[in-house]
This record gives sequence, structure tokens and C-alpha cells, in this order.
Amino acid sequence: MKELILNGTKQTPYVNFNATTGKLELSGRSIPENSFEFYNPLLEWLTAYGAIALPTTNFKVYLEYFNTSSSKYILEVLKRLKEINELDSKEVKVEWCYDEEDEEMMETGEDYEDVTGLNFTYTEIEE
Amino acid sequence: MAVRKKRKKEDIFIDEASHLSRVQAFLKEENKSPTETTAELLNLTNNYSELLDQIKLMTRISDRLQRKLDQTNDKLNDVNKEIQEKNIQLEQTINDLAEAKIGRRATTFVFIFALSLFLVSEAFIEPWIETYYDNFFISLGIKGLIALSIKPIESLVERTLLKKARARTLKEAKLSRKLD
Repeated sequence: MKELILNGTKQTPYVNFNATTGKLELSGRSIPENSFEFYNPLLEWLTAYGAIALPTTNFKVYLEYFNTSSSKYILEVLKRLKEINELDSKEVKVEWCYDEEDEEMMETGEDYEDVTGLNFTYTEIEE
Repeated sequence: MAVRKKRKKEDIFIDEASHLSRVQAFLKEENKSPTETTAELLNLTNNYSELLDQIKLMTRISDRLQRKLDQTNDKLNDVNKEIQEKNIQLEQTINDLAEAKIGRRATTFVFIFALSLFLVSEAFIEPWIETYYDNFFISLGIKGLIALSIKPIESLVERTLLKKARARTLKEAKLSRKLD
């Protein structure tokens, strides 16, 4: 399965989804003009990945800022991962990274953890 | 006249809208079996529950983002105020420096002027007074008048130079605005 790599811009985050290593990364700012257009390929990739997922999938999220519509799609991404996590002998680990002084971003991660029920670990990044 | 292109509205609830349409279509159907109705109700409940989760999460995140933006805005306002104060101080300092520079130029000018007056007085006025009046007090009075006129002349020169400097600064500022 082909990896999905999107370079980050001022408005869209960096994406690196690798099916061979099971490492998925989403980082940067997410304020796309059209969130559906941006996130739909990610959701489609995850649906395809679900069929061949590795026993352990690591999803690293390090977002600096995201808008409300992105928050919906990030939830969709996490829900797809939850579906993979519910498959037999598959596990999804989410590493939620946030800047040292950005308590709000950590709380947002906790909200996502509550809603999705996925296993989150929190990493504080020193500026 | 520039025609502004209408921005395509983004619909982030495509799936939810499609679920709703399906249920609405089901409601219009006649002869619904209890099994089908239960299945649709279950489907609707699941979708509603999911939507509720989304709304709760999005509201919390949006509130947090708004708070963060407010704080950033406050910080920006404070920085802006500080910059304005610094700008006023800087402008004052530049004015003081310009005045000091012009003051020095005016003093030099007046010094040269006074020296010239002294030379003119010694070379022409003094002999003229001695020839026609031969009076010490008249000579002293004329010299005193010359000495007293130096300070007003210095002020006049300083004011003129300052006016010129300000006009030049204004012209430069206008030019730089035009170039921007």
C-alpha cells in the first residue's frame, strides 16, 4: 500500500501515513479552506489501511492549531483508528504531542481520548 | 468594478445530511414493517448519539480556541500599546536630536555673523563714529545694540532651520509612503 505524504503549509498540516511501518503522523497547523477536501484522502487511506493494518499502529499528533471543521475531521480520523483498534489482535496507540505552554492542546487531546476511547499518551514538547 | 467571486460553502456534515435524507425517505414510505422501523430507529439513534458526541467535543474545542485567541489578542493589544509608546518616545528623541543639531548649526552661524559684525564695527563703524561724533557712549551704545541683537538672530535662525528640517522630514515621509 502506498504511503500518504503531504507537505505541511501555513494552512494544512504535514501528513505521513506509512502502512509498512504502521507509523502515522499529523503535525502543524490545520486551517484548510476546505476541510473535507483535505481530510477525505486521509480517511480513505485509513479505510484501506484497516484491511492490512499491522498489529501495532502508532499515530502521532502534534498540532499547533486547528479550526473547528478540522476538529470534526480529526475525530473522524480517530474513529477510523478506533475501528482498527477493535479488530482482532490489532492495537492503535495515539501519541498526542503539545507545546510546553499549551495546556489547552493537552486538554483537547483528553477530550478526544474520552470520546474515542483510544489509548492516548501525552508528550510535552519543549519550545 | 471588481466582481467578488462567491466562495463555495463547505459542508462538513455530508454524511450526517445523507443519514437524515435516508430517514426522511423512510418516513415517507408506506407499509413499514415493525422490524424495518426498529432498524431505522436504531440507526437514527446511533447517528444522533454520534452527532451529540461530535457537538460536545467541537463546542469544547471551539470554546478553548476562542479563549486562546482572546488571550493572544490581549497580548497583541498590550504589545501594540507598548510599541505606540516607544514610537512616541522615539519621535521625541529624534526631535530633540534634530533640535540639538540645528541649535549647534545656528550657534555656528551666529558666531560667524557676530565675528563679521565685530570686524565691520571695528573697520567701518568705529572710525565713522570717531569722525562724526567722537563720543564714547554712542560707540558703546551701538556696540551694545549689536551684542543684544545676537540672541534674537540666533533664535530666528534656529526657527528657520527647524522649519526647513521638518518640511524635509515630511516630504521624505510622503515619498516613502508613495514608494510603499
